[in-house]
Amino acid sequence: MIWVLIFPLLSSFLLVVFGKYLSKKIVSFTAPLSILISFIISLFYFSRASEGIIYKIYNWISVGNLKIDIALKWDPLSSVMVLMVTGVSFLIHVYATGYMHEDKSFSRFFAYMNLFTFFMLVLVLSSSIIMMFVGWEGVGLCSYLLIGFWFEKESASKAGMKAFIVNRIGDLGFLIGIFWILYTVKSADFDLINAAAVSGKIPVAIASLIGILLFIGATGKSAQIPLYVWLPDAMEGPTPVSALIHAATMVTAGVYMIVRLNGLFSVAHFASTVVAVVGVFTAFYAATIAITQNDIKKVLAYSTISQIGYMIFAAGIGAYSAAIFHLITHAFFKALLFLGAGSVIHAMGGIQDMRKMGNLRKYMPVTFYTFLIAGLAISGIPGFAGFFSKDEILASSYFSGHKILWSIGVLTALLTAFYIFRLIFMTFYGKERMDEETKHHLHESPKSMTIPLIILAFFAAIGGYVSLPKFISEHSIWEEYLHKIIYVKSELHFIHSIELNLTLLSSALAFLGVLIAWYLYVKKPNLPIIISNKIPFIYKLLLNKYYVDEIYEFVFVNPFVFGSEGIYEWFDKPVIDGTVNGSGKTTLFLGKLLSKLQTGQIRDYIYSILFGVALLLTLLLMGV
Amino acid sequence: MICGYSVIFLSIVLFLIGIAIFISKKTFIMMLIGAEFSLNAINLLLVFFSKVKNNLDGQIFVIFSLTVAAIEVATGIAIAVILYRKHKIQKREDLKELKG
Amino acid sequence: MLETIIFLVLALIITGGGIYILLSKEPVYSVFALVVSLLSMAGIFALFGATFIAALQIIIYAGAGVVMIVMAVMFYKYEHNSLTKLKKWWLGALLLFVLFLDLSAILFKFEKSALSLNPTSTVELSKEFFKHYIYPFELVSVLIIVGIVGVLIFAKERKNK
Repeated sequence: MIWVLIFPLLSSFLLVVFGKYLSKKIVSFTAPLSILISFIISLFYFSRASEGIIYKIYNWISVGNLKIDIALKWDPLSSVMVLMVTGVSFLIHVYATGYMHEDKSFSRFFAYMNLFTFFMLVLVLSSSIIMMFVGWEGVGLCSYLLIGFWFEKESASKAGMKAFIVNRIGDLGFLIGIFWILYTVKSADFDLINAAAVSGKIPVAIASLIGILLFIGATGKSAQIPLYVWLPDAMEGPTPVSALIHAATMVTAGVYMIVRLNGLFSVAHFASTVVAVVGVFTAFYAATIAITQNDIKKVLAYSTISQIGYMIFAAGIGAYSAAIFHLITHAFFKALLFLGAGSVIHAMGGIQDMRKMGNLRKYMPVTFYTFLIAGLAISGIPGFAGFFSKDEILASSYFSGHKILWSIGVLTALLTAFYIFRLIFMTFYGKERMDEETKHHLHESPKSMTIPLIILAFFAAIGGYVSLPKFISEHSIWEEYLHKIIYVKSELHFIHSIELNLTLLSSALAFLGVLIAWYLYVKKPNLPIIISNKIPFIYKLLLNKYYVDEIYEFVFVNPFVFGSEGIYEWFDKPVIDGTVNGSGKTTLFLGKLLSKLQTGQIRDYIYSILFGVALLLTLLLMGV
Repeated sequence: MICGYSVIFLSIVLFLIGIAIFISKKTFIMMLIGAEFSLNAINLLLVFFSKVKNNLDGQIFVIFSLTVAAIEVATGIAIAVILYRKHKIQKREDLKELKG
Repeated sequence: MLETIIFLVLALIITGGGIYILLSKEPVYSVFALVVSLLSMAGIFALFGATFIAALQIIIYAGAGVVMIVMAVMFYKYEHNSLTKLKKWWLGALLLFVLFLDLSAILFKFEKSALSLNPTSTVELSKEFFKHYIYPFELVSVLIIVGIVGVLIFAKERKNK
């Protein structure tokens, strides 16, 4: 089992060390191959997953009662995740060999990508929360490296920094949560944590607090309100990176973490409610922003935030298997959307503004049809993957009594269909708005890019059939498979006739969304501008993403700037002006005094060390 | 029977002698010898406790400590030699780059 | 009784070697004193029954390590006037004295312990070593490689300078 992890790591290591000497051909062969091997190995072990095996590798930390092993957990949940991660990652690697072909740091790119896959596998395979945190930080690091991959571009390196810092805020909460768990449960093992929570060893209030702390970590990594601001900026990275990290795998880590600790979260009702509310509001909020964005990748970024909001929502209301189901289907169709967008950007020579595209359907048929399938899937048109998973979430929320949240979720489904078909119609239909030169270069992407698209499109189309709605079949393969890892089974009763109506309603809304998009962007392309002129306030609000970046800048960044400037103006200056030996000079003097300590003489340092040790020992012995 | 106190006492004395050598000598190589001396005192302590507690961990740590000390000597000497060859520095007073 | 005498003799030799290094002004003699001390330390290890450690001590320390130091000492061109009087020696002496008092005070916090002198079997030691310490062992080997490469890079003459 450990070999699943070793191959990506090995390949990444090789590429880092020997990357300079390897030809592009070898690199584009080894990097996807290592992932493919991992995928095959995990397929091979798949049948054993239902038993839930733990592969212990090494006894990592053993302090008193606390024992933390480096161990891999191979159970239904992790097996599904590993298959998804390696499978999607492999396809994206293949795609990237075509997409990144012109780039000069070809091998560096694949080294990071392989490293990322390795850390992601560590995250999903870990059996203890500490090891999960290692993977959690590892993927964060790789995400930072890959967002800032084109570090010559200032905006790219700034976006990388932003992602890193925003994630640190979330990680702080996550870390405190982990420590609290270690303190109360005296173990980091997921099974023991869940068991302790379910059996009531953790008081409910504390479980809620821990749950909220962990969820703060999830909001950072999974880009939820209020820490989502890094994800749209993360689109500065190469498109395969956006597809792999910021759509399919890493950003769903928060959902995975909540589902992994479902025992804890189902006890902590308050935390679960917070999770559900934040999730559904993020879904709605990000969908409204996605309507107005003109950058093709930004639309997809907000769509990702919105879809993850759905998953978080599902996890919050206790529909854990639905959350993971949506996670997997989303991985397929969102990776496909990003790769399709990448294919478009590739053909357009780097232009991402949808206002400069149009009628691309004629030039790139494969990209168009696969993109269309993904669009159908995400908007929940019956028959495609997204339909099944989204409906399961919405039905669960309805039947668990969260009617208000359910109505917001349904509204979001309408918005989803609208913005994604707005994107499709703007890009692939209508007038050709690009300039002549770009038009001249338009071409279908190479085979290495289109084949992954086709495979992903296949899964985006049929992936949903593993879990049919309850009114068709009471037994869902998916739910039965994941049954074992869920600690508190939900007692929801799905009333078939109502469920059927709900499904009809949401499908109708999806079709409505598509229709509105068609009417506004194909039939009457002038109308959107008229509308946006009619309600300039709302349009501007949405276009500028509710000014959240500006608000954050104002609330969190500016006080520091203002504060320091204020101190300079109102404190430093008068003091310096007023007195001859002002505070500035005092500081300078103190600094000089302190710098005398830095003598550069080794012996003085040894003396100070000895002095410290002697002092400490004496104090200890005197029993102070 | 060897008295346990005497072994620990010997270790303390050797450790302090090592530090004394380290701070009183002026050339890098002699300082290195002092450091080695102190390390050896600690090794003695490790072996002693390993025997008293009948636990092999102590001796295993001595093996590690020996190895690391060997590397340390090699690197330390390389630095000393390079300082001498490039900058003609062999006394620590001459090394003033670290001064604040 | 016999082992106590042997131990005391060896301890005296080591301490004497240390004090000689401390006071001597001749680097080559100091290194020889170091060798004598290290060999006596190996004797103490052997006396305690840690025969394998004793062997390692002779091979690695007294052998390889000291050879390197001797080589380096011979490379140096010593300026003999370098041994000027130490400044602030009283400060160091004071600190060391305080440390000595502290450590001796700690010494008496230990229980009086009996020392078993029967030899440790190397087989047992290596079994333990390779069972529980295999990863640290590999890491140390990496450290050695890093050390070797580092020293080589240090020592290499750079032609362009």
